[in-house]
Amino acid sequence: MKKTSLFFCLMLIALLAFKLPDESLFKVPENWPKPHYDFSKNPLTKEKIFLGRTLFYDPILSADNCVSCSSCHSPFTAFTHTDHTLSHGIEDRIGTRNSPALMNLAWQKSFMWDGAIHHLDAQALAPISHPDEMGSNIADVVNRLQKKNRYKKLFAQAYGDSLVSGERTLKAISQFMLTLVSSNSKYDKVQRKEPGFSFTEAEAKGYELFKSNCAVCHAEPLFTNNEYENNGLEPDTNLNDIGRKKISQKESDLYKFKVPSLRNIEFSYPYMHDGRYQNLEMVLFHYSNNIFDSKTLSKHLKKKIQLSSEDKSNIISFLKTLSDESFLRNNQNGFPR
Amino acid sequence: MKIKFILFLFGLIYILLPKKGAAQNLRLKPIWGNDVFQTEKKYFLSTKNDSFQISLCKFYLSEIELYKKGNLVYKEDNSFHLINLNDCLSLSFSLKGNDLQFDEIRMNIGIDSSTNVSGIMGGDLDPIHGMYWTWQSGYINFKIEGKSNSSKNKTGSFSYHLGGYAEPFLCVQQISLKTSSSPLVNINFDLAKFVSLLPIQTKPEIMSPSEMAVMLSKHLATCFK
Repeated sequence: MKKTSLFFCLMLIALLAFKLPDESLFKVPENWPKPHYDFSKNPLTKEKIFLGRTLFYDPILSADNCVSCSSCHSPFTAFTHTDHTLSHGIEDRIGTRNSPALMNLAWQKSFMWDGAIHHLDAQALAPISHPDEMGSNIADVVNRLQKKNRYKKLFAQAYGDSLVSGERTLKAISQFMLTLVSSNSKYDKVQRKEPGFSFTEAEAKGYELFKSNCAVCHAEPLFTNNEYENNGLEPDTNLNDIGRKKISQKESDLYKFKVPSLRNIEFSYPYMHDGRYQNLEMVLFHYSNNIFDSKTLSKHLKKKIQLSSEDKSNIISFLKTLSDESFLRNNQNGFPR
Repeated sequence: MKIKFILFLFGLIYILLPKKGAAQNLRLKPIWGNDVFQTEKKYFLSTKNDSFQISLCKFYLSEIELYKKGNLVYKEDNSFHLINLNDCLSLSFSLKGNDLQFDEIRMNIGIDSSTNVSGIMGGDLDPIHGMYWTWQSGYINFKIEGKSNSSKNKTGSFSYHLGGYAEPFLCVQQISLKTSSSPLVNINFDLAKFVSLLPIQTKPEIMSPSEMAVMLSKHLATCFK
């Protein structure tokens, strides 16, 4: 009897070990929900993460060997492109949207501002193929990688043989992106009641205001509800971006965009899908004074949000507690050396 | 001497023993009406004046199942086959079962929804084959490209990429073909029938999931026999 239970225990441990990624490579932060990404289909290894990280920083993915993922997703700015309202790709071509910050992607159900991509493994195909971004295609990328001794070695280390395939390339990039977890901001430390960390008066007031005015969409602890909303931006008639409707083809999704996470927001300016706001003051002015009404406007914005200038400054103080220095300066996420 | 005789006997028994049955092969035969279809050849539809020169035609056959009197007798594992009319090797393949008795083949034209939402896969499903959309996720079930005198495009080109994994634009189609057990089963794909319904004059390009893509996918399913 004892033997059987021991056997079952061992089986269970083996099963769990198979299901959950290695804790040293990926850890679900305390009190966070279960990740959406299915790690059993792409189990993390150190070698695959390193391959993905090398690919992430290598312009070999682009048609003219000039643009890498990190060109628009720089580690020091929470993996986005600051100072550029719209991100640009090969030959300085300008896209139509502001590059999103990359973090906590294992919890994200869909990708891109309109949710066009439904799986992290498929995400890199979009920038690789877009003529205004990397202007290449995955078949050519695989060809280019196959010719490099460095990649033959890295693929062999990661997968046991040096075969380069689209699947292997994309899944390695996913592995690196999955490790970009930001959960060490002041906010997190205060929530975890770590000694020596508490909100200032302004931050605490800002947190209360945040919970009553913003958290319905920017839900804790990820600071997004992973939904699509029309947040009342007046449509830009030059870009004419219809948002989620392009994907769902539903009139009810017109001008809806994915609710972005607010973690590291201090560093991920400019803001909104088209990068129209340069700073957080402009963002809060938008929500309190500048909502553009239309049929698909979020029901949470139908009622005017009343905020005094002190309220706004308190909210901004709170938002800055979402900055995670250890994430932004983590050498493990940087250019591989 | 005795040993040699025994060896001979063993040899004889080996030869006379029933062999493992023949493998089950499927072959796709592209046809244009009554003729063998060729890519790059200029065809005319007899009913209209439209000309068609098809340079590329690729699609997925998946979830292959064999039935006998309505009962499932064989289901292929990991059943995904990329058919490329420009690559004759892709037109035939073997199933792993032997000596199968069946009277019906069922298969999907395209890739089912659950595979579509399971991320990126390898082999015939690897996105390097150009059968995965990049601007939005999802497999292209069927791709046909070429030229027609009726296309309103400046270059006279047309391209139809049919796909869509979610309602209301779910494009995958199951087909069922009556057949008889045979080591080699031929499946005819009539391109003349398929192109006859293409909206070549009004819409020479379809590149995303849509109502029209669903309609053409349903029509495509009727072109296999």
